[in-house]
Amino acid sequence: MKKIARLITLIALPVMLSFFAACNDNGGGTAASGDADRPFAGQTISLGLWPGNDNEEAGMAAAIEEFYELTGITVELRHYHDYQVQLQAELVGGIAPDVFYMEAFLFPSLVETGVLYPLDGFMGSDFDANDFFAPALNAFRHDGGIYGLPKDMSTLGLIYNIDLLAAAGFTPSDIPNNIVDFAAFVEQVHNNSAAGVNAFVSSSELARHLFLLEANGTSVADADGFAVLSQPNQHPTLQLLMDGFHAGIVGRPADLGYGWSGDAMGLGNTVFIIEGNWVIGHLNMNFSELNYGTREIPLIEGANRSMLFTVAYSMNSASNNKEAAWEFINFITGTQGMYTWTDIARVLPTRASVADATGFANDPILAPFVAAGAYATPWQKGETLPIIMREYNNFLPLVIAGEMTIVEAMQQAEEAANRDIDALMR
Amino acid sequence: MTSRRLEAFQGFGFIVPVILVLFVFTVLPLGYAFVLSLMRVNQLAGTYEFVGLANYQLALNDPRVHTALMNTLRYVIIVVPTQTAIALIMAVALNSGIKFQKTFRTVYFLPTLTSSSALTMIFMFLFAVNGPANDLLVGLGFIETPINFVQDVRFALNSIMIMNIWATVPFYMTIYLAALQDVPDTLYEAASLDGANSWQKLTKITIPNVVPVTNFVLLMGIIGCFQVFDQAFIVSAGSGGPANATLTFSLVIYQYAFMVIGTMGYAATLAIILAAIIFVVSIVARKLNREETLY
Amino acid sequence: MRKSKGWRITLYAILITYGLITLFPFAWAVSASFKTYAEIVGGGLNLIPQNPTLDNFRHILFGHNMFPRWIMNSFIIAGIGTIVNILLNSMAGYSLARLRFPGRGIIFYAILAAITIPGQILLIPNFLIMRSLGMLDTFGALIIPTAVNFTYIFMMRQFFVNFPREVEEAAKVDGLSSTMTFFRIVFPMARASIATQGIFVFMSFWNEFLRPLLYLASPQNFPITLGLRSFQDQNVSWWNYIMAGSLLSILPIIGLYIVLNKYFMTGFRIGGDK
Repeated sequence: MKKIARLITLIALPVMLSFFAACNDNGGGTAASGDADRPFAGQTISLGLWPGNDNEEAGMAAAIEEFYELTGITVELRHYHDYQVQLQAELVGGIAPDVFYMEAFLFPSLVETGVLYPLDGFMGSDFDANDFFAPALNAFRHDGGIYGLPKDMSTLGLIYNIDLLAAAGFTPSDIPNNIVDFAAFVEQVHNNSAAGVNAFVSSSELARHLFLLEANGTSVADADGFAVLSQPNQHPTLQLLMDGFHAGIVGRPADLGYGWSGDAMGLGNTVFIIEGNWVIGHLNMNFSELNYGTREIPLIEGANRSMLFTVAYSMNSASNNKEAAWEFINFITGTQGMYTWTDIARVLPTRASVADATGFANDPILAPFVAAGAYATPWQKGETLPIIMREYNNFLPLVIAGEMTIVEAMQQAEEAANRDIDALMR
Repeated sequence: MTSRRLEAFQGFGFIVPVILVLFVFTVLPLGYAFVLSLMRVNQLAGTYEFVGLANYQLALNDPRVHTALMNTLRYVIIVVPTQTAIALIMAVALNSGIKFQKTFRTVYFLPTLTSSSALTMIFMFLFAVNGPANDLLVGLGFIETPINFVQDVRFALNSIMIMNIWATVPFYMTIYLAALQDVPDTLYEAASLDGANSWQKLTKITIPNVVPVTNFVLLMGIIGCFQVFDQAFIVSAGSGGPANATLTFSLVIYQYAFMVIGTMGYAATLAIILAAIIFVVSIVARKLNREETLY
Repeated sequence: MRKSKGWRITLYAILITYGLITLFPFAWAVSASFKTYAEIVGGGLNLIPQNPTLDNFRHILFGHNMFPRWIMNSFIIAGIGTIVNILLNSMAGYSLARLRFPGRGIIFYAILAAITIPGQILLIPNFLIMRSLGMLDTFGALIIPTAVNFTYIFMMRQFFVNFPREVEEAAKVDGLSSTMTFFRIVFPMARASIATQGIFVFMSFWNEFLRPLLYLASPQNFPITLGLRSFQDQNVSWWNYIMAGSLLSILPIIGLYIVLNKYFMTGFRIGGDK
């Protein structure tokens, strides 16, 4: 008897286990007990995101709570600690969440494969797409469809140390508003500053230079995705920056022993940095005595320019809960949800109306970053950008070290990237 | 059952769990990876196109793969002997009946516990242009201007090597120490009676007696160095720069597997090539460092 | 053994110098966990915090209500994993070193080959296998595939190859089977190498990052390594929290080390004094 019982357990157990696993896969959606106002009440959707700092965690919790009050839909969080690897594995395994963070940089590679569900069908005629900053929304367009709504954004701006500027004999109003004059100004600041103070600290990588390279209209990727890095009209501003390195006026954070520019600024070791608005919270929290100001990056080739980093909520094509998932995306990127999220998390809204409502658009420190939302270049350039970026970052240090000219190094980068793109992606 | 068959039965029984795990979690996925290596794959889109040995041909003619292989070989050739020698010397020194042995042991063990992020950060401080390493070298007059160790093409790979040796020696030293416990004291006593000095005891008794463990340390060092990834990734933010100076084989695999989508087939090809290279080198190293097999 | 005075001084000089080199990073990391962020990034290599603070620990222990849970998860995973590993690896190592059976050579080389495969390429296939076994988001996904560790099987084999045969032969004369010999005689005598294995296996479970990352989804199942990763967001690494968290997370390993320490130095010595 005992033996038979054990045999049954042995056979039955795996069957039961797989049954439970199957139940888990469905993950809600079946227990719909909604009413007319809240047709999806009682449902659960899963949301894949990476954990944020304390403010961001609080903002997300508040927004999800509000959403639950409003719709009765529960949002289950799944955390990514290595976003790209984890999301890929989950998508391949068919167990990705209903809604997930979609980094603009990665977007083209994913949308090509069909794993993202187009959102246009859900958007009613009253959907106000024009409220979004155009560069942020456009980063998630593909073949005329929208595959993600941007949750928030970061842009680059100029941050300066007021005390160090004063020590060099200048005030913030002396900072010129075009990049050529600015370069000369930085040199003056350098000459007037004490030893050990850097005039300008700059991380040098494609994510920070893309907008400089494209200022004259030449994209770093052609229509077929091949790298274009060595065209002379891509280099004037980059040349100014490289001259600064060669003259010892500009330094990279790593050369100076810092993890990133934000620490050099916080410690009072640099007069200027060009950084994303994420540096603001960092400075306020960890270097509260620092006397600093911000403004838009000086005009490049006669126009305002910056970089824009944005992340959207996208819907999984394989989701069983598309309606409820849309409810969530629409809420959290709508005026109410985005207000709650950005106001508590202290991140920049992608809707102009929310930027006004939170007061960020008029905040003296944040306003330059909000303004850049209207014109900045998104960090998104098709599915070959990872390879172009890799080779740009690989060869640029040779220019900084003075071993090659920009054109020489960029020809090599271009060649290496295009060999790879040609062999593997075309 | 004869004692021979009994022994075979027990020997096999002892290793059955290993065979199961080996099959399910290594052989199966490896087979899958091998199939991928014959394809152009976009796993997300679910497109699998059979291309035969095209990926292998591509790899043989890929200049980035050549560079990565040369960097990796250089890494192995320098790091493996250095770390093995230091580990053995320190273990012998520790085991030579000194005072405060326990204290030293504990102190030497602590670095294996230090988080790699802390190690990397300290390393960046130490070797920054305005850091202590440069201060020292300039102060002693070895160099005139500070060197940008991590960003300079000539020094980047060497810097990673130093970081690696520093971080891994304690691990191998601990293993050597355990092995040294098993060397019978009688051997040393007999040698003392014969008038052997410390150096002779080291070369004639200690080293021959820990050959199997040296084999282990060498092979693990070879495998670990061939697969070096973390430091190269952190120092170059994944690009392998400057100018491919820190491009290692594992970094190339990672780039195609996870940084670019749609090149998983090529990544699998490179992984299989790397595994084959490591396996061959390991076998050769084992043969060179003759182990008395005692079979 | 007699040694000249000069030799001794050299020996201690080497030991102390090397000790300082290895101790420094650890000491720095410990002191960093009592510093503010600004002091960590700005203070260079100084070891004594200017304004020592417990805020980092407070933030981790009380700001994140999951932290105790994560520590406990790590304990469960690493504890079970280590016990299973010690047993299975030692058995397999002994079998490869001492017992004769058909296929032994092939298995040995298969194990060696398994160590040579770059792990990155097995990530996604293994993820798919875990999914079809229904083990995703369970501790089993972390323990079962690593119930044996090829590196330490290899290490144990190398130790057992060197093990004095006389003892086993004596046991055989007394009529003990190989299994009994192993468990009654060899296993207890190989304490030094088993303790070494134990601490390293425990550490590799404790420090495991990539597999929990892929196989676990719910925060309540996370081990401490994933929890610590929360202090590194997209743009900023919170070094103060990372350092304090790392210190907290290695305390159990130090505890284990102290417990096992006496075994490290009391291995079996044939014919010698203890």
